[in-house]
Amino acid sequence: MALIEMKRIYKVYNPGEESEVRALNGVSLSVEKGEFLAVLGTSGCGKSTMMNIMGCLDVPTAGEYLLGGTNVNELSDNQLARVRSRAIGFIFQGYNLIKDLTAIENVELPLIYRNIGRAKRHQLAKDALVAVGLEKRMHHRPSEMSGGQQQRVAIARAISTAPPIVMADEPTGNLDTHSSIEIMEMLSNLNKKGTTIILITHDIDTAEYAHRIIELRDGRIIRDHLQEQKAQKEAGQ
Amino acid sequence: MRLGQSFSMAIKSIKNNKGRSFLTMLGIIIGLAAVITLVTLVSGVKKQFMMSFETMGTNVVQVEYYQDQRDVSKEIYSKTLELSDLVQAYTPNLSTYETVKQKDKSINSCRILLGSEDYDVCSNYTIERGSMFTHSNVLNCDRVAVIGSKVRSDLFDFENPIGKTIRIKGERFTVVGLFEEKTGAGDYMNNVIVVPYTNNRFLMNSPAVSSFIIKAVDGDATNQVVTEMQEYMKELTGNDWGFWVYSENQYMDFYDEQLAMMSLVGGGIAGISLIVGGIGIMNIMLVSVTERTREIGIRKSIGARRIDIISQFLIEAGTISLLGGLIGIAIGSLLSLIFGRLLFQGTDMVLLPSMPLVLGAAAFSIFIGMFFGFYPANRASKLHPIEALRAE
Repeated sequence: MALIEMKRIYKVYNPGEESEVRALNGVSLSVEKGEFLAVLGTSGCGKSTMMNIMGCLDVPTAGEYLLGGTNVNELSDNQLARVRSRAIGFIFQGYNLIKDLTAIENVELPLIYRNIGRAKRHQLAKDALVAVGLEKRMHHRPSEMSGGQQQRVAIARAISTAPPIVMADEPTGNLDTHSSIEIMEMLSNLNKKGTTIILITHDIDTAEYAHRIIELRDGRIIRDHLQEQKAQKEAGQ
Repeated sequence: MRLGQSFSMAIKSIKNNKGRSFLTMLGIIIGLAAVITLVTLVSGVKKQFMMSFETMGTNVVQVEYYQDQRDVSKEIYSKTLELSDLVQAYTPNLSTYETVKQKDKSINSCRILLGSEDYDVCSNYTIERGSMFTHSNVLNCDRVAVIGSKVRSDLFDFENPIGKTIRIKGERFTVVGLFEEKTGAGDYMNNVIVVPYTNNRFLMNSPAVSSFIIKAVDGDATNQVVTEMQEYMKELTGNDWGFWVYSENQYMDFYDEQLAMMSLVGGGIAGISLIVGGIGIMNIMLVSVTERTREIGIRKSIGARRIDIISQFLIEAGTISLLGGLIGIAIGSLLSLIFGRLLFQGTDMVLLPSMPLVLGAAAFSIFIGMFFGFYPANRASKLHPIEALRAE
């Protein structure tokens, strides 16, 4: 059974109105556990909408979405929140850290929502920050860190609960080349340890890190190919 | 989400917006300071009233006869004997002011009270030395007196006055007893001399004995004695206007009503102020929700449920309100202390709010915050994570 199974997914904003937008137009896709998938496309092609639905932040207008065999369409708001808390870690283009909280407090948040006790929570958050090389910045606020560091805090937050899936929406969009490489290598390493990665990007170079790239245009998948060479190269290493 | 975590996040958010949080609290601060001051002052006034009431004595019925200048003491006395189950003691109660002398010392205007051998019981005096005069002293119109503590100190310094004589209107009276000092009522109750009422012709220049005090056994008996005496006085005078019967208990009820009314009006005003304060909290929390829409989106995207968002904002509103409440309680206590000093000058009464009042006010402030914080909190919890994340 595929980890993610999308069957003819439609997402229509403002249906029936003049401003109607068909963001997704019958997308079908399945993603296996442990894949590194990049969703590539230009602005407005529907890739963020796709991530929102895959990440249980939004529900499709029509179609069926199964996550780990569960039909997400039938879940209540609170059940969706539970799925997000247990199964998915998010990394956003704008980092989306809470500005009043320190790095470690930001990383602890998803653990709080999972009702993990203070001591264990602190340890897990610390481990996650160490994993992204920010052990010396734990008590800094986002405003006291560079973009790359903030994105690393966001990665630490996404992986602190050890979710099976990490979804990254343009994670390098606001970063310089050096930081971008660092972030993408972190995601690759995460994937090597077994985490399924869904990467949303408009940048072909960034997408190259993935094993499988799907290309979206006008809400439809126009290409879906495995990076055979890369996979072989990595297998050979 | 755990309560402690929500609480520390609330404190953090308040710290980050100090000025705004203080302005939000202002309504609650004013409201609670007003409630605390008012309730404490009213209870202080009541306490003082009760103290002076205790000095006067409780369960006392006063009977006045002013149909004519008669001595009705025998009639009233027989009636009190009829009501012996209800009545503890009885005394006529006449008073006049005279100059009193003892050797070279004198008091210009001393209150002379004319009563029976039970005058002490009826007026709540306690004998410190000697005794009250006797029934036979009364029957024989004896010139004997029981003196108050002020009279003793003015005429005898600290000598033992028992057995000594004083002159009232030129006549010699032998001191047989000394009252204990009555506190809380000043000199008025201590600058007194009680003599048998049968001295009235000499001291009052009148045969009339028309004013009486009846001490009932308890509160219920007091009301019954009032009714019985009203009936009896109607019979005696043959009309509704030649007499007057009343009890301090009735007066206390009236006083209680007045205080309750004062509390109610003041409480109403303070209540309105608290509601306005609560609306202030609601307003600021709505602003806070709008400002923090993105934060709410982030929290939701990483797994916060509706209840987590609601509890976060509710605890924040409750904490702001509680902090305001605590400041209000502190200010209210200070105001009570200051007003108490001004109102009860010369007494040793210290006015501070009671512990139940403080705890109640603190709990109520949390309630106000939570009640008015619910709408914004609920609104925040309903935000769609995607739309919230898009907010700038």
